[in-house]
Amino acid sequence: MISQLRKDQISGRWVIIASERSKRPDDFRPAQPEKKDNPAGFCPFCQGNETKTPPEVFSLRKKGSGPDEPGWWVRVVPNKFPALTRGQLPQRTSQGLFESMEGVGVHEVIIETPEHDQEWSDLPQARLRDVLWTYQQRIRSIETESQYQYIQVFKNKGTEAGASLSHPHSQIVATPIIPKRVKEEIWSSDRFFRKSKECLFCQTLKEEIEAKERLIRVNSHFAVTAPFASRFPFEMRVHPLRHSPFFSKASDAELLSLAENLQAVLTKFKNILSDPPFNVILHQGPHPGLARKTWPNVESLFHWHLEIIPVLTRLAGFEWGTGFYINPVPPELAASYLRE
Amino acid sequence: MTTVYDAEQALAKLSQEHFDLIITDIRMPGRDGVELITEIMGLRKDVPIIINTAYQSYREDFMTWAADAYVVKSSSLDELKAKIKELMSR
Repeated sequence: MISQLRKDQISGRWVIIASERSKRPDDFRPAQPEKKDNPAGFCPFCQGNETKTPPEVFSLRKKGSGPDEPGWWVRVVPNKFPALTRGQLPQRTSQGLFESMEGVGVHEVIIETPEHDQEWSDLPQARLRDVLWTYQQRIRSIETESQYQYIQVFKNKGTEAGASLSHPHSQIVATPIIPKRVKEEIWSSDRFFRKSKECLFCQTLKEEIEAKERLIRVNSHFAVTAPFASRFPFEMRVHPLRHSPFFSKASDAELLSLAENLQAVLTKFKNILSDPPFNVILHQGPHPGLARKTWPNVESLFHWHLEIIPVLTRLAGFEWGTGFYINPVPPELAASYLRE
Repeated sequence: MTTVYDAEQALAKLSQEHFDLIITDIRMPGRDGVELITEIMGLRKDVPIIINTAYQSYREDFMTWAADAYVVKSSSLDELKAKIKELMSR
C-alpha cells in the first residue's frame, strides 16, 4: 500500500501516513529504559519538602494537616520561577511591525501524588479522579479573572516529553490571548457548524464509532480513538460522549470514567511500548465569558477533548518547514494494537 | 566570603564549614549547578541558595526549585544584592 495524505478536519492539518514503512510497537521499544532521577535523592515535589515550593494555592489533604505541611495527596503550587506572572490585562504595544505585550499570565504546577514514582497508571482510580477534579477547581478559580483568555492544562511525562522531574506532575498555564492552535480548532468547528448545524467533534465521533477501525475503547461516558490523520505513532484522542465545550463542567461520574479510560490506555502504553515518554494535552473552549462574546455559538460548536501523544519519533526539517507530519504507523494499525 | 571554582570544591567546603548563603552558577566544569544544589539538599536543606546564571532556560527545570532564588546575570548587581539582603534577613 502506498502512503496516503490525510487531512485532519479539526486542525486543518495534513499528515502523510507512510504505510509502506509501517512499524510495529516493538520497533519503538527503547534500547534502554529511560533513566529516572534517583528517588532517594532530593525532589522538591516529594512530601516533606513543602518548604522548597512556593506556598500552595490548593490541596487535597488529610483533616488536621495544615497548608504546606505533609498530609496531602494532591497539591497545587505556583511556578517558583514562572515565565508569566499574574497581573492586569496587558496592553499591546507596537513599534512598526513589532508587536508585544507584558508577560502576564498564570503558571501553576499540580503535584499529583506525594509518592515520587506513582504514575497515573499506578494510582487508585479515585485518586486519578481527584487529580482531574483538581484541574477543574483551578480552571474555575483562574477563570474568575477575565484577563486570562485561555487556560492550558498539560502533562509531560519523561525527559523526551519535556519533563524535567520524574515526580508525577502536570501544569496549568493561563495566557492573556487565545493561542493560534485553539483558534484554528474553533474556526474549523465554526465553519462546520454554520454549514451543518452539527458539532464537528460529535460528527467525527459518530463516524469513528460506526467505522470501528480507529476506535480503541468506548464506555458510558468516553470514546478513545486513534485520529484519522494522526501525526504521531499511537497518538490518541479522548472525547466525552456528552457534548460540552468546557472540561470544567464535566460531572463527577464523567471524571471517574475518564480516570478509568486514562488508566486503561496508559497501561497499554506501558505494556506494548515499554512505558514511553508522553504528553497529555487538554483542549477546551476559551474563557466562557469571552468565548460567548466572540463566538456566540461556542457552546454548540466546540467539544473538549484530550490528546495523548507518546514521544516515539522526532520532528525534523520537513515537519518544521511544511507543518506536515509523517507518521509511520497507520492509526488503524495503532488502534488494533491498543485494543488488544 | 569563600569562593570556589566547581561543585566538588563547594561540597568539600560545605562539609567543613558553616555558610549562611550559597550563590552558584549552573554551567560549571564537572557537575553543574543543578546537580550541586541537589547534593546540598542531602547535606542541609536550611541554607539559602541563589542560582546566578546567564541562562533563563534553566527556570524550566523543576530541580532548580531547590534554590530560593534565580537571578539572571546582568551588568548590574542590584537584583543579586537585593536577593542576598532579602534571604539573609529571613
